[in-house]
Amino acid sequence: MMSKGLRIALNVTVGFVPLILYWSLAGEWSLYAGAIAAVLLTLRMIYRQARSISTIYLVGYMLVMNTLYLLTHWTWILSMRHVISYLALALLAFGSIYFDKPYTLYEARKAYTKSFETSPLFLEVNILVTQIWGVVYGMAALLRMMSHHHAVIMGIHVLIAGAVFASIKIPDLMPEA
Amino acid sequence: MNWLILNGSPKGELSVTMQSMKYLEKTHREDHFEYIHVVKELNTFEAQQDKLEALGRQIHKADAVIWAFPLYHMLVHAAYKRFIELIFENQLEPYFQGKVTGVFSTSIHFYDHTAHNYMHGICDDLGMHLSDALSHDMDDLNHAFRRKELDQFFENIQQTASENWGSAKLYYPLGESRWRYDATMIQPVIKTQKQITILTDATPHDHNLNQMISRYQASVDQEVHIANLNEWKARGHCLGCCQCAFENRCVYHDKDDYRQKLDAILEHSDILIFAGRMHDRYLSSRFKWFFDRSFCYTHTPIYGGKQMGFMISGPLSRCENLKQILEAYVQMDGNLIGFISDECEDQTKMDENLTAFAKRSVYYSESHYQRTSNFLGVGALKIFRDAVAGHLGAIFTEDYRYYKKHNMLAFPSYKERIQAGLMRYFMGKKRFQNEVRKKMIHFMIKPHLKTLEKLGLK
Repeated sequence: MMSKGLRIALNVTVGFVPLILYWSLAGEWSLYAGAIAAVLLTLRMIYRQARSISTIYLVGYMLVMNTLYLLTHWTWILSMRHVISYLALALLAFGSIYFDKPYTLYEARKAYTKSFETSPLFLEVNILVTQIWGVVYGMAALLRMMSHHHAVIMGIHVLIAGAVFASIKIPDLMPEA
Repeated sequence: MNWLILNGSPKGELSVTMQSMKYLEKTHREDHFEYIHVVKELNTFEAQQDKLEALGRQIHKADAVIWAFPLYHMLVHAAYKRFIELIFENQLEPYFQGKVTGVFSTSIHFYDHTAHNYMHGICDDLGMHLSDALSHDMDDLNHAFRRKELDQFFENIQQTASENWGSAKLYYPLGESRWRYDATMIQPVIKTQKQITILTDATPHDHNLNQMISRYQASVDQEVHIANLNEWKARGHCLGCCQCAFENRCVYHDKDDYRQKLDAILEHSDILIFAGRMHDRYLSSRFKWFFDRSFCYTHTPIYGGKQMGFMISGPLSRCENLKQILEAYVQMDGNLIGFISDECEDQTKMDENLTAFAKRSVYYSESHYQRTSNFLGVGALKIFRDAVAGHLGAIFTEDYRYYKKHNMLAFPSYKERIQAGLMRYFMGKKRFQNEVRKKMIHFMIKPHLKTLEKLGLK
């Protein structure tokens, strides 16, 4: 049976499809595909009636990037897309913690029972997981700014893999309601 | 002040314990110290009663006596135990009467409390005033704060002697029963294929014990092997030389009967009954010899889940310390059948109890019953684990190999430690802590409820 931590990690990954497209496709199509994916996820969210801060944030982010690009054709929107996106994600992580609503909380909810969703244990676990992601995003942005060397990119992937591992394991280590 | 040190180490002056006594001597030059290397001189005391009397007079002259000994198998060394027996056998108690005393031991703290309880009882039986007892780790003399503690121990005895404080008795005489048990012989009522050994030190004078053994034997339709320790050829006591550490091979390995007979018992017994008569507050020094010499297997468990029980002639119920020692011994890797003593003083009841004891021993063996250890066994293994994983494992290499192979060096897993670390982090958060407080009991039973659910028993 899939662990709760793994289920949460998969939920979060699906939420990141717009960014994955934005990062992996070539040229301006990456922007459009990212925006379309973000809109589709928003529709899915509305259909499921399951609020997700990260989905709302990402659809906003993709729409802003698309609008800026269409209006200005600034090339850095494409060339610096990784750095900008990592910074935006770090902002999402720390911003959501600041408002006591860690973004991972909304994805994690789907894996737990209703009664546990409102538990302070659940909230504290998600604050820690979101903090980890915030730090990883911040470091990834910094590394990307400093170098495009493949070793650095590999390092970023290792950091992300570590964060995924922590996101899966930490909730599983907790006593659940 | 005149001090008399009764050294309980077979290594004489070269013992670890004696280094602490030498430290006291050198730091208190105004005092006079005399040493009696009891274990080394035991044969002289056994053979020449006048030497014992002379020792008694020495004790009488001393201002204070220190019983200083290394731990041997949860007690004192077998020869030290024999020396204590000789004191009572030769009625030398008057020499000890009213004398101020202290008890000092060195060990790895493995059942040091039972050795101290025993010695406290002996001091009370001898009418001595026990001022203080100190149990040091073998390396404690190397630490300044422990030396300070040793100084204080010494001063406590000095103070008791000079101020004539006396001390309250903690252990009262065990008393002796004159009841004579004569077993009723019956047709065997227990059929089994299990191999049974009764290990005993019974002499023809131990009437009750012999009768208890006979009743047990008569209850079982199977040959019960009797191993009498008095028939074993013995070269000597455990020397404390630690030559066994490397390959679990004692220096007496093939020079006397011990190892061969012990191995035969280990190989050919499913059920092992220890049958002994109480001598002072323990079994006989002969039995102690057996336990001490089993150190040829160092700290390695040897009984491999055998059913083990104790038939004791004597006031066992009034000697909790002995019961604890025996129970702890079994918990290292056997399963305790139970204890039976001749205290009930009722012929019929005694017959019934012995047959029930025999039935239980066979039933447990055939059911492969293995009771989990309590503190006596769990705590013991943790002390050994730490010692073998640490400096002891460097010398006792056979122990280390065994413990490693059998996963006995297992400390809390990394998963457990990370989990505990995370929990401590979260518990630092007020709202998390409050929630845990609120649901503490629920969290405690959560895994149990899950198990019941898995078993379909919710």
